[in-house]
Amino acid sequence: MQVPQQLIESVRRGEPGAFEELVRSTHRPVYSLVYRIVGNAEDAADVTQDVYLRVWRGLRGFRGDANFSTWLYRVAANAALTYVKRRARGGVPTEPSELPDLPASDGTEERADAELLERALATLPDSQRAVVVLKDVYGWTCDEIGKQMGTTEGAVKVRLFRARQRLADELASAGVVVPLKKRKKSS
Amino acid sequence: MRCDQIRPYLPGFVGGDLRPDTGDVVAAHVATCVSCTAESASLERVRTGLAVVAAREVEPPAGLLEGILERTSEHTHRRVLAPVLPFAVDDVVRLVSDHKDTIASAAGVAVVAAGAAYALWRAVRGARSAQPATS
Repeated sequence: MQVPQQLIESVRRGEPGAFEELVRSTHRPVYSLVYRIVGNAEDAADVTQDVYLRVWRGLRGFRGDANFSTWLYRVAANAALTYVKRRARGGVPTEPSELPDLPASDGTEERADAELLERALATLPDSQRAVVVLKDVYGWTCDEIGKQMGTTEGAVKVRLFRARQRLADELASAGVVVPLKKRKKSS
Repeated sequence: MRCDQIRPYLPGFVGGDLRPDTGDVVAAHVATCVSCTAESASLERVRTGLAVVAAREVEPPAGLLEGILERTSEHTHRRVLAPVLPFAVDDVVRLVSDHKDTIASAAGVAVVAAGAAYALWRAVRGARSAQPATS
């Protein structure tokens, strides 16, 4: 996601139409990130709206020396994690995850795996999904994730490892890889 | 080490997320174990698949863009109407919403403390008025 610096400056100056252009050019990747963390299309749409309110308010304080895309993703992840935490605290059950509407696979092995994994992500518990999405999809460090989630790096790693294990199980149940848990010890 | 001791570390090993000394032990085992090599390959495939996920976009629901624009324009307008306030009303609303449990707890503690202080004040006042006046 590349956002021209000129557009950001236009938004900060309050030029008519600039914020709309910013939303148009960024809302798809932002929605994708939020969807992957909250695991539900309806909730993701609400949270994405909240993200842009936060962006609009925060953009005045945004320092130009930071990368805007990084900042935007951070705002989005923070909003999504806050929502997931609140949802868990309120005991509100997650709606059954509907399958996301994804672009058709071009047939390569990696893309087929990605399609399977995208669906499998939606079946993970909230805390595992958030961690594996931020680490393995968006490349955050465990330390960054821990700070953002208000937990320790060690706790993040535990969730991450469990999530990877479960995703590998999903690939195994689809016959893509060898099962991880049913084999006997080799030594 | 045995496979059952190594296996829990494999999801961290494939991502390079283990401490170096632990990673070395796991690497030494995997290098000599066909079973754990296969398992590592499965987990590695998860990681490479997830890296491809990053480049894909989930199709947003119809009307999302319009919803964002409508909601943000409402708030833009609201800030214009209240330019004299030293803070944004929306920020306060969001802050209260995000921390309503904490605020409710604090309010409860404040009420109990106020009640206790009042009871104490009444007791002290009653004790003073019960003392005989001295000339």
